[in-house]
Amino acid sequence: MTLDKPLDYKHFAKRETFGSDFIDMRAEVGLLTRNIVFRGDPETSFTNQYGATLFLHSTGDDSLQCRLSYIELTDVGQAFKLGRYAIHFHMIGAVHKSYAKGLATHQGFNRAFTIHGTHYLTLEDNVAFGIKGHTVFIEDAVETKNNIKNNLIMMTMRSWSLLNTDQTPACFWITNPYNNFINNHCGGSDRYAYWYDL
Amino acid sequence: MGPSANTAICPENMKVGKFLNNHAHSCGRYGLRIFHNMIPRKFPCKPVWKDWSEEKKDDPYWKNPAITATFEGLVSWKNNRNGAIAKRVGDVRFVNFKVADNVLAGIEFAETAWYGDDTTQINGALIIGKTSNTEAKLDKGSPRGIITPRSEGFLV
Repeated sequence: MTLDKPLDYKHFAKRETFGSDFIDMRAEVGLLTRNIVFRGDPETSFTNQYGATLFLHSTGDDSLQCRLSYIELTDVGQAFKLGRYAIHFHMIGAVHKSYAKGLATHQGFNRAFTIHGTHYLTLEDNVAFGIKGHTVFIEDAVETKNNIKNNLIMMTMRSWSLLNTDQTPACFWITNPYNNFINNHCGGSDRYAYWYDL
Repeated sequence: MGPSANTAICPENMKVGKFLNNHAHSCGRYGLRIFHNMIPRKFPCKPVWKDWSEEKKDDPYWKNPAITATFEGLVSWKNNRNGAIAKRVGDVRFVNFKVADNVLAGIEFAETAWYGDDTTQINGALIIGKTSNTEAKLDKGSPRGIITPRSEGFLV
């Protein structure tokens, strides 16, 4: 990667050594663009905080498959409307064959990845930037065995148009502890990175 | 309470999944926050029952034993309060955490609960006050390494 102008803000890039141990504090780098774009209306979405949404629902275990990989989602989510999230898995049960991998989600007005009544979902290698409200959101506390790996979530912002908890948002809002979180990165959240709210 | 709420599910006391090698930085409050209770055990919706009898003194919680929750390898730096905080936890262990430049404390436990001595633990943590990445506001505060719980049974 080559930069064509100086950066506006400090971006620290160093691994500091303390005795025989170290802490790696290098700046995060994520790619926000993809060739295939799912987006809200570019002219009105931001003004109205009203963008595109994906809603997935079907009755019973493994009754649907959602396989999303390497697409871009922008101007997504609809503020003031519960349930209108960028991607919403709604009351499906087990989804062994479903995944969202390598997505780039940015400028979201109403959360980003919502897992509601859904188990065994894979969320992997996603980048999310500038989302209002909890960014990865495990809704009801019954959700278990979802695998959430290698995601980069940056700049999660407060939302005044969702529930109270979204005024103190987290990159990962975890209501059931029996889910797996491996090698995720969260930076610049307004309040929390990983919030086990039990 | 959402539509899935029912009395057979007690998330506070359920087994904890993997939490491994996650990173958190530059957050407004905490990198990792465990809020209210986390007391994982074999029968989540049943109470913890301590057997005081002499023959069970090696395993007094045998009727509803703890399931150890291990949070491993969190790297948490430059958060406006703590690298990690737990409110009230049972057999929960923070293993090999690396925390630096946090304004209030590296790691904080507020309270321990139920499962006897030394089940709530911090193991192998690297806690750094200031690095060359630090900001001026850290000098105005008086950050702590570890804030220990106000109750017993805690091991570092």
